[in-house]
Amino acid sequence: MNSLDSRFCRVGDTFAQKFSQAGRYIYDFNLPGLDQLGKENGRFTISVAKAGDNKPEPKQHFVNVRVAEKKLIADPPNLEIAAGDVVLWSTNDQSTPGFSVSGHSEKDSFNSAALAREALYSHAFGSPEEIEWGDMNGHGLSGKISVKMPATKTASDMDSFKELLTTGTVVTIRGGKAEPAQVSVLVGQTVFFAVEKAEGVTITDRRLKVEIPVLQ
Amino acid sequence: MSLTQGEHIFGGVHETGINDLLRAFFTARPRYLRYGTPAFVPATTVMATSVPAPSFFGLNIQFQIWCDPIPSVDITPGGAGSAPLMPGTNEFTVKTNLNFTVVINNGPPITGSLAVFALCRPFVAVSTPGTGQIGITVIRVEIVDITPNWLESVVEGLVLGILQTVLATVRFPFNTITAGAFGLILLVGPTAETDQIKVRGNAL
Amino acid sequence: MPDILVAADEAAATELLHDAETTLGTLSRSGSRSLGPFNVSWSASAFLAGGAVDLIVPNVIRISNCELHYNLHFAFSFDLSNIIPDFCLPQICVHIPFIGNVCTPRICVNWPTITIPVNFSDVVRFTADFTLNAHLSGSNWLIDAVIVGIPNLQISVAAAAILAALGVAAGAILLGIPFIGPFLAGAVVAITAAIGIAGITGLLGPILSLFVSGLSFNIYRQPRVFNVLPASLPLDPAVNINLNSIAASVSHTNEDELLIAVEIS
Repeated sequence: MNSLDSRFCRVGDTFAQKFSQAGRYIYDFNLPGLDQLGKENGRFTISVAKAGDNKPEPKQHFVNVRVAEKKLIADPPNLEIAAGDVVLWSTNDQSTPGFSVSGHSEKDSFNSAALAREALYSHAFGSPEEIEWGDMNGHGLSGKISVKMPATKTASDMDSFKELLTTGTVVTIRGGKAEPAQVSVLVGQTVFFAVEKAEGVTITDRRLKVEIPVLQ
Repeated sequence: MSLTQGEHIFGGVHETGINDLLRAFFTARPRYLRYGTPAFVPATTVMATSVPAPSFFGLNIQFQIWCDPIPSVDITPGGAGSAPLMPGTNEFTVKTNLNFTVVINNGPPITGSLAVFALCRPFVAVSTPGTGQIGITVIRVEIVDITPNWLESVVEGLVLGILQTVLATVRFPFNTITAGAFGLILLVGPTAETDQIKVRGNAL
Repeated sequence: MPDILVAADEAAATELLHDAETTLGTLSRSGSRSLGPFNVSWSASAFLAGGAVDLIVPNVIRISNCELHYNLHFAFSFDLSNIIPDFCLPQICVHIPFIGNVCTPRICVNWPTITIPVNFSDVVRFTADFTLNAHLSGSNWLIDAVIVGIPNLQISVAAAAILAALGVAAGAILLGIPFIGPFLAGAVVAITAAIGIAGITGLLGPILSLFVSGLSFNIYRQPRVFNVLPASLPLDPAVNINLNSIAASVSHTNEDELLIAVEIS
């Protein structure tokens, strides 16, 4: 499965969150739409220390998500970072189910199924297609991505293609707007959806929308 | 010359085979060999056929007639045993002994036996393709050593009727002549020749 | 001279054979085997039809251009990683003004194990000699025409067609695998090259041979106790004879004929 859906990260997807505020965050993997974790819940921690006066260069921290004993595991389970650092979650195992990450500290929270602030979702596109994407949380955000097949007939074509794989396309989201709203990439390339500030949005292929019956 | 000649299927039953068939027929249905008036055969059974007593100048004539041995055939060209009535072209001789017991007006039974030769031809009794049947036509009868000749002719006339009745019941289905190998559409025959009854035709 | 002698010319023998082919009906076989990196499971059904009969002394029916109509279903299973190299998404770094520098990890895509279904139907013609075998089986007399040896089946064209169908089917299956697109054409070529015509021929030949090896047509079946006349009136029982022996042969005079000789009692 290679669906565009920030609520379920799989191989080829990443979720990254910048931690600007100091604090101790506990987090876990959830189904999107569940209530926020209670203060006592969450198996994993991120301890964010205040930035020092010398303001060192922000760092990125990698968390590998995998399955162990039938549960999703964050590896490493506990991080100690400085304010301004970025934590990026991803998986390299195709058998890992789609996951969403959410957590909170005393004063702050983050949720990959409701991107709000200084957050990033990236997706590598695996098939040629035209995708109209939207926000499943109903905030009106939308965009379009055209995925084309690269030319790979010759060795030279293949070399060019491999070079292009190292470049990413960035779509910036502010409020209810995506900029640019339409992008064109090749199969294998990655688009980064960077949320500066929004009301908790998802980046989801509209074809994945499921009509959920409402009890009368 | 091939057996099928201008047709596609040939079936031939040798006279030994015909005799096996006759034996099987009359062993299963012996009533077609034995006929009697009510005094001898009160009612028709598997073993004997009841016939009405004849009316002849008020005489009470009761009789029983039976063929023993089971009739056997000699298909042309005939052997020495058919000398009294040699089969000709497309003919075969049927031989048997006609045995009888006659009682007139409750008198003492009169018994006897006649060696009978019948000249016969095969004919198509039922022509339906696949399920047709070959039958036997009796042309004439020869009884040896009855004198004077006029008496022999009278007796032969009576025996002709008896044998026509006996042999009219015999049927050889096409399926038997081809031993079940083919459903036969009969086009040529039946013919009696070279000691065989032969048929030719096409497969159903 | 046998009690009953039946003769059929080549035209009637041909009808007899065609009826026997129809009676034989559709045969089915299935199996599996390895073909290099591929596991192949297959199921096949076939029926025979047509053919011209030549009767040959003393007891041979030669059937020319007998048609073997067959329908095959293959399922080729293999680990795609054994055919094409795995694909790796390189590390990508971007600068986001309000986040900073972000880099994705290098991720390698492990190609899955896939199964490619291929269906193929065709007709192959063959010529073979059959010998006549009359025998008693239980309470029935049978005459079977039994194939001599295993005929050579010309399957090169079919093998090429199957390989082409495999390529088309592979393309359709592969299309659903993420990130395969740039490598699809090469993957299909690699798959068909890995099997090759020789592989398909080696697969197809033994399968079809199963249907002709030991092939036997039953051209005569009658019970040993043969019913001449069924029971009719209540006082007329059935008339039966015994078929004591059956012999089948081919004779030649001015034409060739199939002969069935029967002794009865």
